[in-house]
Amino acid sequence: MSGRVLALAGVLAVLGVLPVAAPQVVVVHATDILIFVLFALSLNLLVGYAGMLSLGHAAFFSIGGYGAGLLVKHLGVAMPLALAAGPLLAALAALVIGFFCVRLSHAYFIMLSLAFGQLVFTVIWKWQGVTGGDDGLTGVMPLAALAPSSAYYYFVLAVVLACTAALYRIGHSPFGRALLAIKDNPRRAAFVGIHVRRVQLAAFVVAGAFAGVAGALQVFFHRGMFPGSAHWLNSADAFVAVTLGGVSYFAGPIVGAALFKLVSLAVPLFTAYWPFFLGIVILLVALFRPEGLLSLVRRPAARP
Amino acid sequence: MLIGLQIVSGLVSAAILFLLASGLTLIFGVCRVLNLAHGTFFMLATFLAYAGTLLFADTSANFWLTLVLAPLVLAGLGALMELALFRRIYRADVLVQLLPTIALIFIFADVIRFIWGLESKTVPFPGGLPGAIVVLGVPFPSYYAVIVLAGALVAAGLWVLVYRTRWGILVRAIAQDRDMSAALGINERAIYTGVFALAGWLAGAAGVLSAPLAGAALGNDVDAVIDAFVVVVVGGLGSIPGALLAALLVGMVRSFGILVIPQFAMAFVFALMALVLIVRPTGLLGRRES
Amino acid sequence: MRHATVLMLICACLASIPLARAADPILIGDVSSMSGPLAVGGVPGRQGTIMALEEINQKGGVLGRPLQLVTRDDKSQPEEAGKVFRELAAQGVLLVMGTSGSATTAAMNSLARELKLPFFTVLGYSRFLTEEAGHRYFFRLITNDRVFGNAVAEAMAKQPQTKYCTIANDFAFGRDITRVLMTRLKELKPGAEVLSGCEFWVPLGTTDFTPNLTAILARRPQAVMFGGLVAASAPAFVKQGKAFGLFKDTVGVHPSLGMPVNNAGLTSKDDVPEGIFTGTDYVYPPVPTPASRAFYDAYRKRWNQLPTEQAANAHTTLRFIVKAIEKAGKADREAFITAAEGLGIDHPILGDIAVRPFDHQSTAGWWMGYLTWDETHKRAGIRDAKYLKGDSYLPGKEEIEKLRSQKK
Repeated sequence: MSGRVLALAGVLAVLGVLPVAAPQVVVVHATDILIFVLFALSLNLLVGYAGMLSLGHAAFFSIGGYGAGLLVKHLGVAMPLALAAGPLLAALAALVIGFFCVRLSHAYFIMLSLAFGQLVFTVIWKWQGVTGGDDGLTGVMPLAALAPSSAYYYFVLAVVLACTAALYRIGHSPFGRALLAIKDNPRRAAFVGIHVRRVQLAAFVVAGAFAGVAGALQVFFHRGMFPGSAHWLNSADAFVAVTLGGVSYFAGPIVGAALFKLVSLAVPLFTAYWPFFLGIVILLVALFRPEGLLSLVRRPAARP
Repeated sequence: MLIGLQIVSGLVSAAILFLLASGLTLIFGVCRVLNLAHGTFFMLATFLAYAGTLLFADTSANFWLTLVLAPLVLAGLGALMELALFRRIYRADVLVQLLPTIALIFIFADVIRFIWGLESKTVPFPGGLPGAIVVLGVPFPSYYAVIVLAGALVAAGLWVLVYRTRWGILVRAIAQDRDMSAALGINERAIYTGVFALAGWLAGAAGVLSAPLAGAALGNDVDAVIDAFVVVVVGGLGSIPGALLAALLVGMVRSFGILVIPQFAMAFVFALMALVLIVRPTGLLGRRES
Repeated sequence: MRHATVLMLICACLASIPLARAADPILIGDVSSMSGPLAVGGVPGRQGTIMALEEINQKGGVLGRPLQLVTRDDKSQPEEAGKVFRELAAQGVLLVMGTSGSATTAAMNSLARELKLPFFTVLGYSRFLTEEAGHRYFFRLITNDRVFGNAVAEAMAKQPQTKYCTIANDFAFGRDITRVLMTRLKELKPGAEVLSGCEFWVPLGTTDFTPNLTAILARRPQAVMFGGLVAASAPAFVKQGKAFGLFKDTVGVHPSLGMPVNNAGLTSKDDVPEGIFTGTDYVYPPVPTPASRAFYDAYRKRWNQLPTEQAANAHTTLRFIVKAIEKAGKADREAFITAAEGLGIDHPILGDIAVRPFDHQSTAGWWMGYLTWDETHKRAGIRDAKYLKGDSYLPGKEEIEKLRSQKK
């Protein structure tokens, strides 16, 4: 127990002093990694807890970002308000889409989630007048105080830490236990009195909301958002991240997302064939550590 | 007249889609694996078709030669993939099974880039075919007849294979009830390898046949696998007749959709898939999983 | 012992100072798409840049200092482009150039303004980048779709065809070029129209055009404008269209099919129908001028590949950058911008071009002719090629100011 606490304290300490100790480049990349970590954690609420493999999760990430961005750019809304509104819009979308998706299971669920994700992608791409289409929504500025890299980094760090803590609490709550029960055996869960569809929908909405937070952080980070953020390949990236780390561990998505980003960052400096090497890494983990990389450190628990 | 023309062009698209989707639906129906790398096999086959035109440049029958050889190569690759990768992870969660298929997409795309470069390639139509076939006033290249014929032949061949051979009985048994089949002593492992090989062969045939039309281009893998999954899901996972029906449906939706709402062509297949899954959650001819 | 060490340290420091000053390189950032769908353009662009870099350093560098390229891959993704752009800014590069598509360029364009870092695009042809979205820190030595869209429209207005069908990839450039060209054509030619139900939009990457071709053939247009089809879609449409005999009775129009990146997929003579009116900023067979031949030979020697428009444009961009730095006399961003405004350079294929001071768009023009097969180089090319300068098609200062103020 104390080992874990020490490790956690160590990580937090490093994250805390990063802007002071490391060059600005590192801070920019660290911000990017933190945002992706949040996105991956939100997906794991569905994958790891509820056993719902969504390949359309990027849609909510994207809606969160576009929602916040459009409010700031076209309606002049202040950043804090937009930052809250983005995730709300994402949650709303998750409610609608989730309503249809949770009625399906297994492979059909995966494909319907993918279909809806691509429909969101299409809407963003085609609605050029509002979203900017494939040229993207650009010129979305954060508050002047948060514009410098270090300032924005601390902001993202604070939000991501808060969301991580929240997701941890959610996971260890009765709601989280209900999700695990459903994942384990839906029929038995229903028998015990859990309203399966309702709980699954709630998980879908909560996961979508947190993905929306990540998206909102992204739009101010990059000063804009692009339709590719809603594409199923972006969902697949998050999916790879959570499975790389291990879906049965709370920290699995964190480790997986960080590793995924680091490989995507470092390898292109040496070769244009970085997807090949990323694929090899994924393959090795899938073959030799299917429980995820964290299984090197700890045995997988029954629950994250 | 336009309607007739669009029906014909829809048929052509449907043939390729069926070849592509049938392998995928087989893999899912029998082995319960969602093979996201299926489109990669298709793309590899298109590049092999291009390579074939260079390799057998002297012979006029080079296309037919490639059509025979390339699917066999891909069948072998499929079997290899099953033996080396999937065999190890059947016990694992379905989400872990998705990982190696995603990895293969990355790996093969770069291998193809390394060998053939970044530029797309065209593949010549096979020689020795008669000129255009005039249908409803429009001269269709006679090659299109080859595609439709090939699609029909493969569909018939698959039907025979699955419903009229011993191997087919075993395949259907495993698809229907895996545990019972194992209890009856059916050698699943050999069947699984065979299914992956057959799926590879089908993807290979689809790729070579589509190459003279669509050429070989990086990025075809992702488009192909999405198309294949849409057809498979709309038809019902694991159902070959469903795949045939869905392929026709998707082909027609594309053909007629561009007449009615051309601006939303990029959304057709996803809207169709969403619609079918909402109304019929297990696809048109799919069965609810026990 | 300790005194000796200190002495050695002092000597080393003293010795290194003059060395450091002389060898202090000027850093230029390069963000290009080296992986992903746009790599087919990004890779030759990067190669052209590197070739120019080597030539410049062989001649002694810039202001007596070596030129150094800090390269990054944007993976054809706009978010990635923004991130690495910011990374290069943090590394202290003087400016950034890059061979990336429209969306990735747009992402870097807005960051360039925020970070006050000059940015040159080598592959972003969308006119809005120097019009509505243009600003002090964005430069473009290549032409834009307003130029080649209008130039081709004017050429086609002189032809008899009035009944058109259009087909394009459904993305910003595809929509833009279709709109620019057809609008101008309708202005110039009374009676020119797009037949009803004959305006098609296909997803990026589409290579099966069967349903579109049957629909087009049923409408029997006199011309088909497919300028919005790019990359793998363009050669596929040409090939399938030819197989259906489309181009026998219908004139094909595609402003940029002459560009090597758009016709590279045509790999044999049989794929190329005669008579498609098109254009490019890199001509095959190579233009018979000394500059063009020199560039062709040098690139072939260096990379053992056929040069493309990105290679030539990137090469020229870096040479322009160096010329501006030397004119400024120092490696300072604002001084650079002042020096670059109005400055001219010789492009091996497009001749003399200059950067307009009020929008930073160059006067680069467009070569136009008819698509044909270049047997010598075993690739598609154009015949009867004629060059048109860009000046007359570009908007004037007032219009640019109006467009930019509207965008706010």
